[in-house]
Amino acid sequence: MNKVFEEILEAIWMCEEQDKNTKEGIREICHAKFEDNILESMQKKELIAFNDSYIYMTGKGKESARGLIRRKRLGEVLLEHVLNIKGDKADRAVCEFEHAVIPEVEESICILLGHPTECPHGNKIPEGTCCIEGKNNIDKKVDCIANLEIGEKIKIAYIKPESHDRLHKLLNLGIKPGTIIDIHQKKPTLIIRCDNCEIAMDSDIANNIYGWRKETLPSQPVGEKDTQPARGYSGGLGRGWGFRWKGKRKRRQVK
Amino acid sequence: MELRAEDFSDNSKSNYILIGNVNTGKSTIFNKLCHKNIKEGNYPGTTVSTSLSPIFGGGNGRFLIDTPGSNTIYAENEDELISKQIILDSKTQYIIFVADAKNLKRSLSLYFHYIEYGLPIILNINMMDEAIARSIDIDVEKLQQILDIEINTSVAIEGGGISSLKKKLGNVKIPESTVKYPEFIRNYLKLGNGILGNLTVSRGILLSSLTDDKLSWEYLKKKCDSNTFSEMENLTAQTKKQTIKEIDLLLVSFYIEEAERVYNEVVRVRPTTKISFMDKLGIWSRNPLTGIPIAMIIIVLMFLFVGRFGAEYLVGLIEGDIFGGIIIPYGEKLCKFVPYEIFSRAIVGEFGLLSVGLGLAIGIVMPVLLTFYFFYGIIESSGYMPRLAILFNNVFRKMGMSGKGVLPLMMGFSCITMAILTTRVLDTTKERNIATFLLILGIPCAPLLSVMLVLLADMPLWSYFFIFGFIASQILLIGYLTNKLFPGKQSEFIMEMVPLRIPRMKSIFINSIRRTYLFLGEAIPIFLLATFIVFFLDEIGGLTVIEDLTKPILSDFVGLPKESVDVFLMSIIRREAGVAVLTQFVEKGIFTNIHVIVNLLLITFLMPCINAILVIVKERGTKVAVGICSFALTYAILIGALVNRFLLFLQKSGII
Repeated sequence: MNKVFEEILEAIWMCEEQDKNTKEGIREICHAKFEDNILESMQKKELIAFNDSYIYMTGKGKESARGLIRRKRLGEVLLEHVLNIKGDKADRAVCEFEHAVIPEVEESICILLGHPTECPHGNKIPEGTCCIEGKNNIDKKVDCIANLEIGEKIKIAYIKPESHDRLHKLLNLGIKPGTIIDIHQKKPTLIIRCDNCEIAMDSDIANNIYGWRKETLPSQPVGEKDTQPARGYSGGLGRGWGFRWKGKRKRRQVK
Repeated sequence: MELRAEDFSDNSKSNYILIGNVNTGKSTIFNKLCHKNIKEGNYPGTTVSTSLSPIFGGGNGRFLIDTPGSNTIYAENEDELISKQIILDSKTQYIIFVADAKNLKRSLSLYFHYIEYGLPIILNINMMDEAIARSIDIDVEKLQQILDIEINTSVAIEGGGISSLKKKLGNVKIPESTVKYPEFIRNYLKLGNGILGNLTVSRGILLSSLTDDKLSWEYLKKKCDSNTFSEMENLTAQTKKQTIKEIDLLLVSFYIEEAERVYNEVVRVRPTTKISFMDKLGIWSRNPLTGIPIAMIIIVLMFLFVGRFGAEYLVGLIEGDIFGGIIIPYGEKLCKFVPYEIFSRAIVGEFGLLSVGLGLAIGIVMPVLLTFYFFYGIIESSGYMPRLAILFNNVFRKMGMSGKGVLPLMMGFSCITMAILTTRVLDTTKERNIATFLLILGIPCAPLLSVMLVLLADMPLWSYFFIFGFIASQILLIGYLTNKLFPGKQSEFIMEMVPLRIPRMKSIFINSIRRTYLFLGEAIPIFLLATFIVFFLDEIGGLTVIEDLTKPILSDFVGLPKESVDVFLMSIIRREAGVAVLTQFVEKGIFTNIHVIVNLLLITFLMPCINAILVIVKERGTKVAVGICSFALTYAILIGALVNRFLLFLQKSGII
């Protein structure tokens, strides 16, 4: 599809989100300049319908716009949250992104990012098929560490850079993409463990850390049960609040 | 001793600077090397200012500087800045880099930051025992080869490895940085050196100039002329354009990368599922289900040890038996040899120097203070305090601080003045203001607490709960309100947990004796002076005048006997001295239980000692100091009046 068409469709989508899809409004935010003749050729391709003051998308047009907006906003998340790239360069890169990315790549990026629902500016990212499937299949999902259960392990995928200061602090504590952490305690304060250290943090900070789940800590194989003491601590430092009763104490057999 | 950076610029000395991450034991090493006794503790941020001392047995004028720990050099935090300032300002010096054996990766990453400053360095890996307990093997020889510097290992808290460190002090060496910078940074360094010409500036300064670091720019401004300076400005601006990432984060990530590489070569962690009892206890104590009962047990233990053993048994022994039974009767006998009766009154009378001044300080304050410092020392060095921060993070959030606020507030129970200095560990001005405010308003410091406990020992049990419950509720309430009123933002809570350690009783005991001794040395002259002033006022009839003057407020409004003015006169000089005088009145039976409670609350909420006020002026500025103190004064009087009426009402209704 023509790049100008794509820009126009995007602009219509964004205007529709705010319920003001007037021609003027669309013209204002559209990256490409357009005249009525372009709109006419779009109408011929059954992408849009328009009159003097308003432009509407047809079903086909909406479908295309949805994909474009989705790629654009996924691109924004990728650049800003994962690659920590902001500013002019990021804007330019994103502009190319939506036109260039093929659907398979789009899906992989969406999975990588954990099916984000909002772009960095707070706009909704349209759902793709992978998002709907992803909801059912939690293992493949990138998840926020605040959503994990005690004892779960996660490999950090990215940290949303809310503030430079915070990134700095986290980096210096060794919390960065690639680090494997496990969740130690959730209330009243989240405690994670990485590199032999326990680190406590506010939920505000935890809400911005995303990662891939690792397999949860291996549980005790059934056969070894009898070789273990009747009760005691198990499962490493990752387990709950420290101890777990393992089965009942065996009563001594009276002969 | 608190120092400024200017103090270090003397070239004739060779200064060794202790540098390292937070809570790696720098102060412990300092104490061991210099035979000093500065504050140590098992929580991040124990040290908030620098100390300087000659190294004991180090010979030829070697001095050691202790600095607060930090995890990065690209920070704007006051205490983190100071170590950098020292490095930039003085000339002959060496770095003793203190690394944490159980977290060598993070220490190495900071180490790579610091070697860029081109100073001779020696690496000391501390807390080897904790690494062994965690099955972490460190190949020190290999590390020595890789880093190409002298390395020492130590268990400073036990004194292990200190003498070998002392021997190795001469073998400092400037290591070559192995950090792999990308092309554009290497170019920048080359060009930067070219511009500065024969001004030899370390790569560390060049690198931190890239991060808009104020200190480095000030340094450059001082060193070079305006042409070179603007050339440098252009160069950094151009270099920054070559990356889309933020440059300080980028640099840190190189250091971490290099640290990881070295770490993977020298450290082996054997898998282990064994967890020591202390670790388990550490986990239990920070989980609310088990942590709150543990906190309660600690409070009960503290009550038994300080309240019962210290405030009842020891005070009874020293004040009752030794002072009351031996010293004062003998004093009275001796005084009879002096013909003037006024002399006898001044020494052993109602406001006598011996009977009140010395008797209070040594008989009442000393024993309780000793037990309190001992107990507090155990808590401090065990690493329990950060766990309290986790338990109460949410409560402190409501009060406008993060869980870190626990540290200064807990410290307040030891000494308000010290605690106000400790508010530096909090990240924002708002948090520091709130913490200072609460400290001044409601936290009773150790000496005050001691005399309060002595007084409460003779009162019904409900009065304990009433007083401490009331103080706690006021702190929560005022904290909540100030959070709403004070401008500024709250910082985020992110804190590293330190492992729980079994405290070493012997050194804590010695330390508590030392602290009590220091306290007495400072307090006894003031106690004597205060007693003498009150005695003097009493003699010339000034007391009655003041009593009459304050009667409308103290007696009519608050509802206290007019003698309480003596208590307040004393407590303006020192809070605990006021309470100590109060105990005298109680013994005479002038005061009812309700009067005592109201008096105690008033003294707690009234402003603390002169030292604390001076420290607030210094740390927070005169405006804040005046604001806080005048609020505390009005608030104390209002609260006193309210509580008095409330308790009288309860008494009439027969509830108490």
